[in-house]
Amino acid sequence: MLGSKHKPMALWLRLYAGAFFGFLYLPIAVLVVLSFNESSVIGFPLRGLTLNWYHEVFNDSKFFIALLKSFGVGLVASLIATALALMTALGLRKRFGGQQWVVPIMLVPIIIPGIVSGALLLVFFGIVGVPYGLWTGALVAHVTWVLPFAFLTLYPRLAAFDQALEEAAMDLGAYPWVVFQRIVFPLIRPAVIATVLFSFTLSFDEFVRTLFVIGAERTTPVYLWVLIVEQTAPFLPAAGVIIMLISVTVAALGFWISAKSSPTSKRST
Amino acid sequence: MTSTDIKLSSLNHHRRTLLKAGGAATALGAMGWAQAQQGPTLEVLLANALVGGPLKGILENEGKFKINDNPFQSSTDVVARLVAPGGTSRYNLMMSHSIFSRGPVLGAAAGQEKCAPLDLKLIPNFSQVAPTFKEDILQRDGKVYGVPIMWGYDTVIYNTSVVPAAEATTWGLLFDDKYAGRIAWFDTAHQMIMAAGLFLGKTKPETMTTAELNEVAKFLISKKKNVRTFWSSFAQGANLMASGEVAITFGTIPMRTGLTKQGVPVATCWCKEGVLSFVQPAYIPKDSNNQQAAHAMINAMLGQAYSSQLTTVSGYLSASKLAAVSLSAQERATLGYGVLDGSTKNYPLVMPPNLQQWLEVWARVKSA
Repeated sequence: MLGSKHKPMALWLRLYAGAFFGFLYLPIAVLVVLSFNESSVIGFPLRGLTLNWYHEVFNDSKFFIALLKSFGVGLVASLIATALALMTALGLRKRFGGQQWVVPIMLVPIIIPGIVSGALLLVFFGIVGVPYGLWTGALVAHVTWVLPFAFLTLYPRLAAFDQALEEAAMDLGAYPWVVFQRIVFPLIRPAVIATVLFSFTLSFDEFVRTLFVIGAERTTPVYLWVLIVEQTAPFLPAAGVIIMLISVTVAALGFWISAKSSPTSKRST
Repeated sequence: MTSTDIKLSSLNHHRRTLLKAGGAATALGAMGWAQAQQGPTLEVLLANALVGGPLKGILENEGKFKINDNPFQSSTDVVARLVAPGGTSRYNLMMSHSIFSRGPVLGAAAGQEKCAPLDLKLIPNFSQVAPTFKEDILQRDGKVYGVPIMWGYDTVIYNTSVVPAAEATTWGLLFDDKYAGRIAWFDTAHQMIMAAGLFLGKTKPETMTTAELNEVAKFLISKKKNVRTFWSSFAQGANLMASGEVAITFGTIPMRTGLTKQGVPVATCWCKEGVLSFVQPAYIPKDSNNQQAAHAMINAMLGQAYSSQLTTVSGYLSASKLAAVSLSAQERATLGYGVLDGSTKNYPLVMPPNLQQWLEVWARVKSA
């Protein structure tokens, strides 16, 4: 318990924490409030409450096509990135030459600014002749972006994995693939699912790199961006809330599964 | 299960597989046939508003092709994509401001063009291009590489319920102490410094010397106190006007069009120093795989059906003489066609050779 001389400090800390969380979450709250504002102007004052903007979003077929494309590329990119991250994390448990360079190289896409990555992909795809499109340029861009995060999520799980279990299985005659299939994968499955979900969220929200290489197609962020380049679309807050809900739900699911699969969680149960 | 059962099951499986494959092939064939009926697909990179609403359908019907409009960022982005590796084969048709497209698109010398010479026999509407835009045709050695399609202007937009029309005659509205706190500036060096230069009496603002640029900077800094905020996207600027947060702003055509559609009482200021005008030609990248259809699209964009709808839908104006034939004198004046007959003064939005210095000046203004 804090003594009386520490009380002012505690008060300041509470104020600081309050301001901190306010800056983080108030804009989101404002977006939610504005999505119900009857006015066609995005801003205050509120002119009344309405569900019209949600109605407009749900009746916009182009928005739904973009949403489906975001789901599609998000799912495929997250599965590819998770598979690659898993193989890399498994490989890093063995010793080999140049091993120390693998992790730094994996993390490069996080360090490079998005706009630079987009421009680099644009130039590179031009040189090697990769066509623009959702399943060509954009998919590669998404996998490149998501892979380091997938690796960072999976690697600690694999590094903490008790290899004695695998050795015991091999002592009993199991081949490496059988060991992976029957011992390793079932134990890390929650972590793998969580990684897929995190990766999906990142891919779903990706915009800058996508814009450079997607061609004429639209994912949800690209579609919304095209809308606001030239004019105000009053349903934008409603569309933003829907996208946010999808991302938050998937991320929350990922956190929940990840927490359930963490070694500390296992020990406490 | 006997071996006969297994063989029968296997045969059934093969038959189902064959039926599925046949069905898929038929479906794919039907899709291909439908695609062929629709005509070729053109990948275009131009301001998305130019193929928005009914405009895309008008062009597709007239030219018998399908348009895939790629997300547009800016004219500079269009040119950057054209000159990037592989850029001359990515798109079938591109459009960007003529002032800074000419150099990169035509290249330094003959033979270095990034776009294909146009076959004007395939563009009969080329003869409809208004004489005003003769200088904006991209050409070299008698060959035409780009045809002006669309033009527009940047100026001041003001709320008519706040600013009397009699006062709205100059770029000076953007700096007027009387409207302190109700003015918004566009957060961009080029347009803002051009506007300030014109207001300060510079006859060729793009050629301003360092001393003159410093004078403009000093002026802008002195007037910054009147500015409520800077905006960086058209939507942001329009929203500031629509909410009433500001009553005067540097304004573009899409902003005015959007605000008018929303019922916001705004008008365009025909600045006596000249509105900042620009022209966008269309050009076909040299390795485009469907040049005939691209020619058809250029022709359709200059035709009566498209050009007469362009301004109503997007606010931008057509370079075709056919665009304004059905408009009244009042409509022509309101929309900006006065630039063509000389009744509205304009100044081309020319690129300064020392743009880097302009960017530094603007950074100084913003940080002051």
